[in-house]
Amino acid sequence: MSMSENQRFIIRLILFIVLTAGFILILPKLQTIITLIVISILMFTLLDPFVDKLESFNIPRAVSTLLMILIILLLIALGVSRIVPLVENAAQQISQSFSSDNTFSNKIESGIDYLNSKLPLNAITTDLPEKINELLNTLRQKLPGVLMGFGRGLINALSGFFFVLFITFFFLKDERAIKKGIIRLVPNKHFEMSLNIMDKIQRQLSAYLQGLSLAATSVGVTSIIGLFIVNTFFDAGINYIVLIGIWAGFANLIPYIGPTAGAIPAILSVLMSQPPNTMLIVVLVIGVFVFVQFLDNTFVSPYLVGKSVELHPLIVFIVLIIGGNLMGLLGMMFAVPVAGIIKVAFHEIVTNAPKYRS
Amino acid sequence: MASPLWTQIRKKEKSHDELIKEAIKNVNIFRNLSDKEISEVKNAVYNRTYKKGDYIFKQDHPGNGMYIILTGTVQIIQEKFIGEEKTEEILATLHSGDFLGELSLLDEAPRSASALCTELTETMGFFRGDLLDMVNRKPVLGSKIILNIARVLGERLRITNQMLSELQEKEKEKNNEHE
Repeated sequence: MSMSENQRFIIRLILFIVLTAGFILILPKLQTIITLIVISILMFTLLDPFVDKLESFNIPRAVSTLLMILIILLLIALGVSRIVPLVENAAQQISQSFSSDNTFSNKIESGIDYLNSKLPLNAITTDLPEKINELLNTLRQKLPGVLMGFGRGLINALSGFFFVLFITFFFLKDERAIKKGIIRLVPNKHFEMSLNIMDKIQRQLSAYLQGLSLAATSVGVTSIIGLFIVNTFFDAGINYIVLIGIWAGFANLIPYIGPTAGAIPAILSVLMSQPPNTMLIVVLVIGVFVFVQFLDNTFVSPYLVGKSVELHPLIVFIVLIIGGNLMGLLGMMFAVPVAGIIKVAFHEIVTNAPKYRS
Repeated sequence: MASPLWTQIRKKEKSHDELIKEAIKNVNIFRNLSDKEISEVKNAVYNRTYKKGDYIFKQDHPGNGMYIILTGTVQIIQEKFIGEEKTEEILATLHSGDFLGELSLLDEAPRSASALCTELTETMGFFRGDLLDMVNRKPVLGSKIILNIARVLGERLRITNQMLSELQEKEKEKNNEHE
């Protein structure tokens, strides 16, 4: 290595260290904006084929994008107008039983007593009701603070949501210009390779995210159908089936934990309404969620999500922890899709880049 | 009233725009397209400028699309190995208005030769990803381009068949002479 090359190497190394250190220092301050941009990219990748479809009916790109954003807003407004009263009802019901001589914990307690009487051993711990009471007391004390925090969180979430919609709009409308702008920075030597890899990544990601959302929708819908059947034929008294289904669909984005987290509200609802044959209904509800998972894992996800994006369980575990640490539940929901995106990008680069070597 | 400098810049931009549109119109796979469709293609292409000695693409690299030469000169060079010795053969020299690599719009087959710029060259690239995008976004335009590519392929196949049959005839005549 000649002297000038040595010097160049040292300058590059120093530059790399300074830039990396600067990035690490700035990163915590940019966390929110980076998260919102990542969500916007996910939204763009998911919605792009639909905007393309609208454009294919000879509707200009800008109008197609605006239409898509309006459709999304309409769907969200419709969902919120349906879900908010349900959440309100559920909250009211819980707070009523919460304030009137601990009916909520009594109901859970009697439900657990019932389950224990039917099971051969005291399978469910007997001090659980006391623990629930303790938790409820703590909650009662912390409620005002929690509500204020919730209000602040709601404002942040709303501003974040509109920021994401705004960015997504421009990503969708100016997709070509943005792509050209990025590719303009690439030197001629790597131009074709970069363009090819970018195209492939975009196509794979679009298919992957559409598959994920379809799989989540399918889990939500099949859970609703299953719970509705149990309700109709066994008079199970499960409340808020649609809400539970939507939750199950979203929770399904979190591997391993998701399916269990999806079933918990349904089981709690059974324990609270205490229908005749509570034990049988609980078993049936668990059966519904096991069957939904079987359908998803056997028939839906393998075809919609694709094998190429399958992540090793250890990787899933690590990214779930990282996602949870960074953004809580929302972070856990986005952790696997983001890891999937990184895997697809990495796979495409590793597969295609060597083909361009001289 | 616009300043003369601004008018001059606008005029220059317009003439460059016209040059690009004209170059697109002259490419066989963009035949029979309306002005609006030509503008749509123009929005999808990438303008690149190469210095003398730069390769636009290299032999054996995956094909990704086609290039139209706006200004400059490009040599199409094929590398061959005779034994262990590498030789280079110049297959063609292309100039402004010529185009290359249009069949790469269909598949990722490796390039059969390299394209080397022998002077400062301005090109316009149209790639497979953008063609597929066009098929989704503007199906009529996408279909027209694909039909034109099919026509080009048909023409080339006919020429190849004709050459093959001529060769076979010659071979027959040669055999008859020997007998």
